[in-house]
Amino acid sequence: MDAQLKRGILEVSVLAALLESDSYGYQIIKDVSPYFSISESTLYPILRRLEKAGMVTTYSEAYQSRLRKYYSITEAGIQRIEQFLEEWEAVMKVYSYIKGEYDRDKT
Amino acid sequence: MTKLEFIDALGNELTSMPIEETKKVLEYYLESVDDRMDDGMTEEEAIEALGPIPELAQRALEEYRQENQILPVPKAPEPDVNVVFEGPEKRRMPVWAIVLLIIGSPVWLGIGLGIGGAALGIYISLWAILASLLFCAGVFIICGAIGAVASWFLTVSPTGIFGRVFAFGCCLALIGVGMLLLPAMLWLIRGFVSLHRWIFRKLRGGKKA
Repeated sequence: MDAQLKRGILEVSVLAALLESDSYGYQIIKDVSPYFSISESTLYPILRRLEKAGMVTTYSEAYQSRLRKYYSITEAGIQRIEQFLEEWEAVMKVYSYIKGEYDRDKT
Repeated sequence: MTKLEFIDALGNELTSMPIEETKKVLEYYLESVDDRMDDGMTEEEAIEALGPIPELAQRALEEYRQENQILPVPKAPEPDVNVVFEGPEKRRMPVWAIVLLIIGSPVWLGIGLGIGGAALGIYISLWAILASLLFCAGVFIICGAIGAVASWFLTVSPTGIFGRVFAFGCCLALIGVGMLLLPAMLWLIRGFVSLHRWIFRKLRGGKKA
């Protein structure tokens, strides 16, 4: 898969992980792990970029005598998700078409 | 690898980033280590799960360079290249300083306010002492003078002329103390003020150097 495309998908996945509630690095990794495995080193630039783009904000909160950095999705982040879903709905239709043709051809 | 070794190793790879950025990267990874340890891993396992350190460094550096529009340092510069693009000046901070910064960050504000408040209190007290002693000197002189004049009209003195002379003498002594105290306090206050100027000059001189 195209690296840029993959990165885009990862970014939106991270945003989705923040929809239900604010989250932190390791928890985000655990949340997306059923769908793909991502390491902290891959996640780091994604979070940085999302913050710079204004799609997430961060704050620190004490947890068990240490500081934890939480990420929170913004309105812009939600819009990005909606944009992704819209774009990919069209992709899904094309996928169905291709799969339909392919399966029909096989039988 | 222990946390300290990890900080040292990764910090070493990130010397071309400003210290603030390096701190963010280290805090990010250390947080994950702690979370993994909460999940039951040992410190070694948690650190190893992060991946090879060169990879962590490379991803962080790439991201930093991209954010700041810095062209990558060429890996093998040709001999005839006379211009090399580099990131900002290398800044190196000892490991213990980085560790202290990270571990201590929530505590610094409280300690700072406490020390700052105490220092301010002491400073204000010094001024108060100087001011009140100066005031005393003035009061001594004035009261002494009034008393010296009034003593001649004392009617409650115990033994006539001797009482008045004694009272007069005491007032003169009071004036004397005041007259000694006044210039002494003025000298002290002047010295205190020039101490301020000396400190100011030292601070500004230090910054220029």
